[in-house]
Amino acid sequence: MDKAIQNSIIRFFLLWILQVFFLKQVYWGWGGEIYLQIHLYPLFILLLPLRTPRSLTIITAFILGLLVDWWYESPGMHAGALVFTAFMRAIVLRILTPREGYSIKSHPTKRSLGANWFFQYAASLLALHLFFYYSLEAFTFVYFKTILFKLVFSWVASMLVLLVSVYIFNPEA
Amino acid sequence: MSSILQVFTRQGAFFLFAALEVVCLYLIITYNEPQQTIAESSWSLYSGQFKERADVTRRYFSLESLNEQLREENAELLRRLPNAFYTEHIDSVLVEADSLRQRYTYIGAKVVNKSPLSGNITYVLDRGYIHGVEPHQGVINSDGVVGVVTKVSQRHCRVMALTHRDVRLSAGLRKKPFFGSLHWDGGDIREAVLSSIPEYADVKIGDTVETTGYSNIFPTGVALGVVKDTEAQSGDNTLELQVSLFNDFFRVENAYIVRDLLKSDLDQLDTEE
Repeated sequence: MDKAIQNSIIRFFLLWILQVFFLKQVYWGWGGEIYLQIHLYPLFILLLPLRTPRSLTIITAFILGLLVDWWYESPGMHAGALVFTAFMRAIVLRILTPREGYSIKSHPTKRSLGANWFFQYAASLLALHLFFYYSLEAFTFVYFKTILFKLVFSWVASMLVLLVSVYIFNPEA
Repeated sequence: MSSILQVFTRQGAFFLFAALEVVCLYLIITYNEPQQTIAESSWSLYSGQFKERADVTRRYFSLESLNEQLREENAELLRRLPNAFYTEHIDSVLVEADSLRQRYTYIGAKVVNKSPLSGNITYVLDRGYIHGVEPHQGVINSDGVVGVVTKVSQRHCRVMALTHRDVRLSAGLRKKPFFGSLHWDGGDIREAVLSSIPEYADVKIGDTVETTGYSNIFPTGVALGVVKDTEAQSGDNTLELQVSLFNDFFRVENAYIVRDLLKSDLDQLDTEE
């Protein structure tokens, strides 16, 4: 089996366990609202091989999202957000295409395409993910300011954890 | 070919995305309480708006029957106006309620056809002799006199508008004892001529012209128009008044046919000779 596929399968379970057993405990907020949550599991979608069919990306996102929702007791919310992220991945990848294009050997990782590229890639997709998630949570744009606050806090914290884990493991594929 | 396939797979991903998002929305609404509350309230809000709009549309379709109903009500109310009664009692001091005899009744009718734009306007109304319409009955509406019935069939009748060369009716000035004959002399359909007013009558511009009731086809006091201009006729010491009519004869939609219940009584006077 391809190393990239193997890695992806391992990451699927590892990120899920990390998310629902550890990162779920980390939150911060005031006035009965949670403003800071850490979402690390989108990293799985981020690091899927470039040649993964778009439909497969979306389906695995749906499954992982449902598994996260199972523990968070919020059926549909993480799944909806992650499906959106998976859908947007292709668009973000197209926008961030390097000048010479993606080579066959390149992977959407820091090691393969550089720290700068990876930061832009992760930052934009995570922002999209969190925005969609908090929109689904509020379920209305009446409290748009609250959504933005939550987005900013959670984005900073999640980016921090995400970058730290990427720097520690620095996966090849 | 491959590009077509590529497009299809891309669209396929989009459809998959949309379908899964719908599933997620369903899950969210079904199993998450705050979102469920929001969804329910927005649903009732929008469905309420939709129902309201549907109701407005539905009412629009029932306007026809509503008009019918209103015409009948108006006819009934016109019947109860004081000028629709005939006082049978001789004693003028003591007026008893039962001494009033109904003289005029009204039949509400809808204009179903109009003659094209010309001076001699005629209308077709949707009431005929099975409803009690007869020739020479008057036709009025809320703005005043419309015209006179000329022909009657089983369910329809033809009406000559006031602005028809053949129509002449007795008209006078409101609260002034002068009266004359009103007719239309061609030209502007918003104006008619009231002739045979004595020259000494103090007619002012803006005086209201109304029916006298002497024609026996209209009740007394149905408005016709206002005096616009006076002109002394040389030779016979009379005034000719230009009257601008209240009624817009192109816009008549509803009309009330006047039935005079004492008509046969009055006709006897004319036939006995």
